[in-house]
Amino acid sequence: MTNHPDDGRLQTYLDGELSFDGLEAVERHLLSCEPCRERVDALREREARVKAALAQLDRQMDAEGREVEPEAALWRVRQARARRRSATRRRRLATAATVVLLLGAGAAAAMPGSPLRSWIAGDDEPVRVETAEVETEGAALSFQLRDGEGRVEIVEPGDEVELQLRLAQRAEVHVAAPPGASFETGPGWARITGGHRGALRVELPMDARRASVTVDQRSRVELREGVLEVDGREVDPRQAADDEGWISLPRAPDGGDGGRDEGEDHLEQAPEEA
Amino acid sequence: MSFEQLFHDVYPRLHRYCTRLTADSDVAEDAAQEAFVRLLDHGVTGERSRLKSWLFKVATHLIRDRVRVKDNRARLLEENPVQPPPVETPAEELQRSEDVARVRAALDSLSERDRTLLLLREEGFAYRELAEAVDVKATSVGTLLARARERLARALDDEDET
Repeated sequence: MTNHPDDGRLQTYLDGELSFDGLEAVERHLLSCEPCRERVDALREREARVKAALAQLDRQMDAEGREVEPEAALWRVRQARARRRSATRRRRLATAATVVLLLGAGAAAAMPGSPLRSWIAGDDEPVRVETAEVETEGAALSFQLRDGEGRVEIVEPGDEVELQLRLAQRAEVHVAAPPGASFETGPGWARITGGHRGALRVELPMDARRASVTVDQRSRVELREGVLEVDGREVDPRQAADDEGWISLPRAPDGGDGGRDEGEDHLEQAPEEA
Repeated sequence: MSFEQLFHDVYPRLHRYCTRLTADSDVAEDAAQEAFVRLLDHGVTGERSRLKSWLFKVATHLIRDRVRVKDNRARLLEENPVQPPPVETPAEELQRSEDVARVRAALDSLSERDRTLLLLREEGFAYRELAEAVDVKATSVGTLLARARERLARALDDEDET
């Protein structure tokens, strides 16, 4: 046999990246070629040595007493993201205000459908992690309470999204969103962004120690130890609900003291900084 | 797959990759987390493998762009590790410091492409993904990896001799 495979091909063979035909050819060659078998052994040995050497670098972190803490890291990512979105909105508002002043285009900005209007409103790109089926059919999810508490954040619901709430004898929070919505979830919380048209239904466990619903960071619903408050006012679910137990929430809070800053909730439930 | 699932799945490996690349836990943590923030910022969607590749690529670029990484490497080599764990004896600490410094020096002697290839391969990237990461043909990856490993092994030998 004269056509010995080169190191690259043998490496590809060792890494399991050869096509079926290529694999068969190399193995057939190795059966009859002692020197190439020795080269494969040498490559394998070198690979193990490199792997062991690189693993040494991880000891540095161990020595510093550092550990990878995904929960804390995830919290920091979400905080950074929230800060950035907030800063982007502020920037857009400031820039838009300047443009309106300079151009005297306040009236144009107020017109429905005006690009300037949506710009001023700060329509960020939606957070979309997995939205394909949601885009076409709508979707639903359930999540468990965390330490008896749960939170649903509704972000920038579409103008034709109707918010509905029901208390249920169940252990988890259930959310059904209309088409066009995207979901994010974590321990004890879910965030639903967007949505085109239809009912966005939230079912909270009656027995939750605490459960809340916010819309665009404004607290709309609080359930504490069986006491339900909507927009800061205590509500009797039996009187406020329809025959199926659904309570319709007005688009905007109708007064009351419901506009608490959502940032407090994040801080309360987030893991401590490393 | 939700964002959170993706995060828990990829973050530990991305963090390890960044730490190995930079020798600086703080820089590694910043880069790994910033990559995820950018994933959300850009609304990147797709298969898990595509998102993983995207995250590693962004983190690699972030690290490359940070000049202070080089300073930190130099500092690390000069000062050697700090704050030994209580269970480590002085002799063990010395041994570990020497081991880490030796591997770090060997790794730093490689080209950026070799280093990236080796570290990404260690994190389980397929040849197709490696090819995309360092902008070469997928058919060349086996050869490049074999050479990179050979160079690192030789550099480790050189470090042993010094």
